[in-house]
Amino acid sequence: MASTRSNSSTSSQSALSASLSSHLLQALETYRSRTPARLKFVDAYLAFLVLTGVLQFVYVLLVGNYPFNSFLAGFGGAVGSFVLAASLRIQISGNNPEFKDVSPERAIAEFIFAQIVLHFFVINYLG
Amino acid sequence: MMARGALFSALIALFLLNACAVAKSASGSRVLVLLDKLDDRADYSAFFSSLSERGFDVYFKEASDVSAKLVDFGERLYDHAILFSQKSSGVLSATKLVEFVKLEGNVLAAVGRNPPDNVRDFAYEFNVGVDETDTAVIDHFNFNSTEGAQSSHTTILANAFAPSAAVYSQSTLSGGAVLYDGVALKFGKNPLLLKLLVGSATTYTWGARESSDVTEQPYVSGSELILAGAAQTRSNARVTFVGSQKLFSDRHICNDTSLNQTTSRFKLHVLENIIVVDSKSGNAAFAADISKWTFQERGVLKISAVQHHKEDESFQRDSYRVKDHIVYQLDISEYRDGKWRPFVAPDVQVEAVMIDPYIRATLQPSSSAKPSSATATTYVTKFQLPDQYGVFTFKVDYRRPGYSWIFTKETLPVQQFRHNDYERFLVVASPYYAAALSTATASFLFMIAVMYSS
Repeated sequence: MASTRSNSSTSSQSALSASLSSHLLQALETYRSRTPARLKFVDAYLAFLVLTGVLQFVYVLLVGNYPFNSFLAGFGGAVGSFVLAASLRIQISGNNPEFKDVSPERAIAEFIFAQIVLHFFVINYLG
Repeated sequence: MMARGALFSALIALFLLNACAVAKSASGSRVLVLLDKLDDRADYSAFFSSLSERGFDVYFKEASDVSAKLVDFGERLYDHAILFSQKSSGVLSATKLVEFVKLEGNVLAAVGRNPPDNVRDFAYEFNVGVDETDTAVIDHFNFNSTEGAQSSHTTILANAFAPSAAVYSQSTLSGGAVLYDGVALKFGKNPLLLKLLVGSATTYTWGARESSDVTEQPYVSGSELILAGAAQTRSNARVTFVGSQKLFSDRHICNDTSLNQTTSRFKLHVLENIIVVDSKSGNAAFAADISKWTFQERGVLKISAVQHHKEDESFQRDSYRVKDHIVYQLDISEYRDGKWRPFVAPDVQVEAVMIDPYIRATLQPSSSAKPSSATATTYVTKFQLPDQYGVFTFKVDYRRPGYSWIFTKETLPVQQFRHNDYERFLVVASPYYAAALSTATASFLFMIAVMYSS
């Protein structure tokens, strides 16, 4: 009795995971074929920033929060850059109707200005 | 030329003479003794000659003498006063005696069974009560049997000395009992008071003339009954009250060469078994010790060479920073038997106070640090200032019974870290630096790529 139930649950789990992985694979395939190269480049940059932020957070958990200002600068720089790059991606992807009126040139100019301001603060807060 | 040489040698002679006459007291050598009649001084000749031998200039005045002044135009005329008069004197009222003490004069007041009003009032200023007229301290177990076994037992033997090394010499503490014939004293609540000699468990006070039984609670009894007590004011003036002026008399002071042996020796009765202790009275040693203490010849402490600096520096700063490591040191000397000597104690403490004491560190007598002179002990301690900025007071407030109060304080600011006091470019923060720089570099490259790829 028990073995039957466990068998059925294993089979349903495996079915679920199979369908999940097939969906993921499909999503990945769609992303690979349909996303423009320019947005893929932005995504690679975002992935890099996430990695930088996660590594710093792991380090602060291991070593402790001294010096806290340096941590805030480094971590804030990664998070801030991510937010700016994500905003840029939304504006230049062309799939978001509310940003139809914003030209990609304007989005890029705003992005560059915001980046310069962000890193000015990050470098000043680092030491 | 000759005249100048003669003058010079005369000056030297005068100087030497002066040096010889300097008293062993730390405060001064002029003593005024107040007596009922000038002739009375013969009764206390042993005590007064011991004072002269110790280098005091002893002046005698009758208590009723209008010229008997202790203070004139706000200046002390004498350094110490001995009140032996038994008649009340309007000349030296309690107020005038207090004025003298306020100017740091020392007073040794001894009364008898009939205490004069001015001394009674003076004692009351220090919260020391004196029992009524015609009462006496009685002890049926420790009395002088040479007075006769059928006597009223009012000449008692007292040896409950306060165990104070500042006041008593070792020989007094281990020596004979004190012959005491006088009135009882009682201390009130005054933290400046010091018991010097108290009664035994069987000592009490009662009317001296009546032979009647004790019908009610005596004024004071037992170890609460003070035979000799002192007050040391906050300015370190010392006032000693003794309830028996006879204690200082030649009759009670043992003096082997000039006194009749029978009166200078005593016998001790213990209950019905008469234990005859035939020995000298301790009056001479006791009188010497308490007069030495009262007249600032012993138990006088002094602080000098207070110094503080950061642990890795050697000069004193006007201010420090939070969490600095500080070395605090000072010298303490004790005046005893005519000389300043090193004073060693394990319990001297320094406090860093800002309303509350943030740091309280015990100062250690240091053998390595060089004292400012051979007459002092150097105390050193190290402490770390708290992580709290503000105006701190470094103070040493050392109050021990028998010793003069010593106090020193210095107020100085303790500042927080300035913006450039913090350490920079820490190794531990290098991942953050690397992250920030790589983020910035990546952002820069990304900007260029995005700009030129469209």
